Amino acid sequence: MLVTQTDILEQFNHLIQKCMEGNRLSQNQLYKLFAPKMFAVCLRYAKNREEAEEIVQEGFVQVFKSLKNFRYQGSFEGWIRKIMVYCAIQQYRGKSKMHPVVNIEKAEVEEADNDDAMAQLSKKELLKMVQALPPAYRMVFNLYVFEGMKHREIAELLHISEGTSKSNFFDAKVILQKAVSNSLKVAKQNY
Amino acid sequence: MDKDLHNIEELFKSGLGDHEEMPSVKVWDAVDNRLDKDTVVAIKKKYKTWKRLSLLLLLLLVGLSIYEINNRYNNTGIAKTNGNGTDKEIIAGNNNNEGQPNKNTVSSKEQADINDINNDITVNTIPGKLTADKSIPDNDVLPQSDNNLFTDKSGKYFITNKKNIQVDGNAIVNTPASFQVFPASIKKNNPEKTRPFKPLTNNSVALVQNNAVPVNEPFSLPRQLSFISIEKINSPDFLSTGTKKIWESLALTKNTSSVVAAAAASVKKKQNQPGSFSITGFFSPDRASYRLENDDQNNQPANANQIKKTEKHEVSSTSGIFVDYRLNNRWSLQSGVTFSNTNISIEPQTLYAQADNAGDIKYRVNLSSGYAYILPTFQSNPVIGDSVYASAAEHKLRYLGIPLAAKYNLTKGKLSVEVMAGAGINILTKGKFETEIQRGVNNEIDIIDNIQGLKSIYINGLAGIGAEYKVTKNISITVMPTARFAFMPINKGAVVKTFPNSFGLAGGLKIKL
Repeated sequence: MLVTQTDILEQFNHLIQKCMEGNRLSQNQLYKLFAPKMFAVCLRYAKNREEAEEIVQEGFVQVFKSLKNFRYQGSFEGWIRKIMVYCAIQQYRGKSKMHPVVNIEKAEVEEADNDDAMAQLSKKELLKMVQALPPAYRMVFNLYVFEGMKHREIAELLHISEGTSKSNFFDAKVILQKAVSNSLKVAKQNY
Repeated sequence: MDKDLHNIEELFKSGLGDHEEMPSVKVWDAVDNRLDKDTVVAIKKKYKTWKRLSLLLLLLLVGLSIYEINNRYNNTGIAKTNGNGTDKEIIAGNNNNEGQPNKNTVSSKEQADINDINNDITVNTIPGKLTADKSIPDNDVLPQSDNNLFTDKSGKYFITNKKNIQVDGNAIVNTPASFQVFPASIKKNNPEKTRPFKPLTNNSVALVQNNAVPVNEPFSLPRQLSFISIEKINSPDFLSTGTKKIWESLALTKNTSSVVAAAAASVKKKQNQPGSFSITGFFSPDRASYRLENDDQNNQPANANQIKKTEKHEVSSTSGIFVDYRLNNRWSLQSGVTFSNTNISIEPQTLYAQADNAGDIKYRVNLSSGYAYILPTFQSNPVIGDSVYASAAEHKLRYLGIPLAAKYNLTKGKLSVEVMAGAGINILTKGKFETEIQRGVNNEIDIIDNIQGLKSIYINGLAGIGAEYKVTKNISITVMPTARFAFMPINKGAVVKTFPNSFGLAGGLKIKL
């Protein structure tokens, strides 16, 4: 029997309906369906795995509590993702604003080819580099690169000026460039 | 360098864009626990309303109980006789108006004795024996009650209800139901001089023991019953033995001051009696305002000055019912139910999209009472930073109030001046925000019934000074300019803390129960 896209959509809508009714089994199914993707999102916004788990936990609680507000307009995955990002921002706001000062002047940037770098750097390594960024830089970098937001929007969301957002983004890129270069150097030496 | 940096963006986007990783099992367990906890909280919240309602009903019940106990005390306590150590409830009228005595509560034996008195008095109306015939004035001089005062030859007197009194040289009292002191017209020994009816006074009561009937001393209600000093009055000579026995049992001694007081109290207007209730229905057009303070806890762009500039108070009002409980001649307690209605208009402004508490992107508007998120149908998927123009907006707050105030009044004739101060609990019944979002020619009206950040309860203070004019015996017109001022902010977690104030001219109709 051929399962059509409509059938899948109906099943999915039924699953959401059950989740809205508070059916814990359905909620678990929904969690299992989206947790891997959402955890990956949270990992980028957090400094480590533990912090990412806190965000994804809070995010899914908010998802189940806010399901009644979902109007079936647009992507459900996009809706959940927005909630995860919002929870990450909330946690960032709740943390101390005393961030370590990063001296990027001494950063030495080495030219690297993207394809070459991709081949040599694993996802885990890239993720570690992002997580190693100072929180303010990490937030701006993630929002700009992965969420596709403009600096004006980021500034409003994080309650910073547009100039600060641009500056943080630039600094984040410099740090990452340096991290990639160093990683490639090590890889070459090992090779 | 810039080219390289651009590559970095692409490198990370392509490298991590499709990354997926399952969190540890403990994450779902934590989510599961949190959902259970939230369910319990939701159930608790659901029953919170019922708890409040129960408390309100309990308070009402306590109030009614106090009223009932007080009522019974007034009706029975003061009319107990203590003669010879035996309490006999013969009840002198106290709570009824215009001196109408209450129905007596007597045993069959006592009733028989009273019948004896009737018989005795009627039988013993021997000319020359009584001076009562001289004391009773003409019918047109009789007080506006069914009670009369008799004196015997020696000047001692007793008082009885008058059912049928005929003045024909003799006093004929057909059906006195009980003995009672009551004002009456009294003639001095000189029959030519008839003193008009005067209310009782302490002094006059005291004169009783001296067998002197005052001419010019008015009677009035003694304030403190304990101050009344009445020595035992011997039964009049003209009474028969049986009647004397009853007279003794009634025991007009100092211990029976309650009887005297009860009768005197009946002279007092009911509305001036302690323990009486009155109800006032009122309406008050209000001039509302508020005091705003920036709430530093919330890092939103709007602030108190900005809100003050954009918001304007419209016509507001308060209406409701007050219940007054009189403690004494001067003081009374006031409570009741009020319904207040505050309207605030908001000038046109631009609303920006932000993530709401659930992570949805909506247009946020900051109000003095809280904040609201709007999602117009024509722009249901905004991104952060998008904006819409709200051409007009209105903001309405409805509260149900339960005030409790102390009132002090000074009365002169029909006019009373009252000063009132107290506090009230205000329960939010509705917080509504309505705005018109511009969309070319066809604007869209959006209504939000749930203003966020608005507390469900706040406490305010009340103070006022007013006047009351008595139209009839039980109905008065009241005017009470009243100021209300919040003791605490009406919101929490909003961009400002708001303390609403208002000044209203409350006018109403007061009915004494």
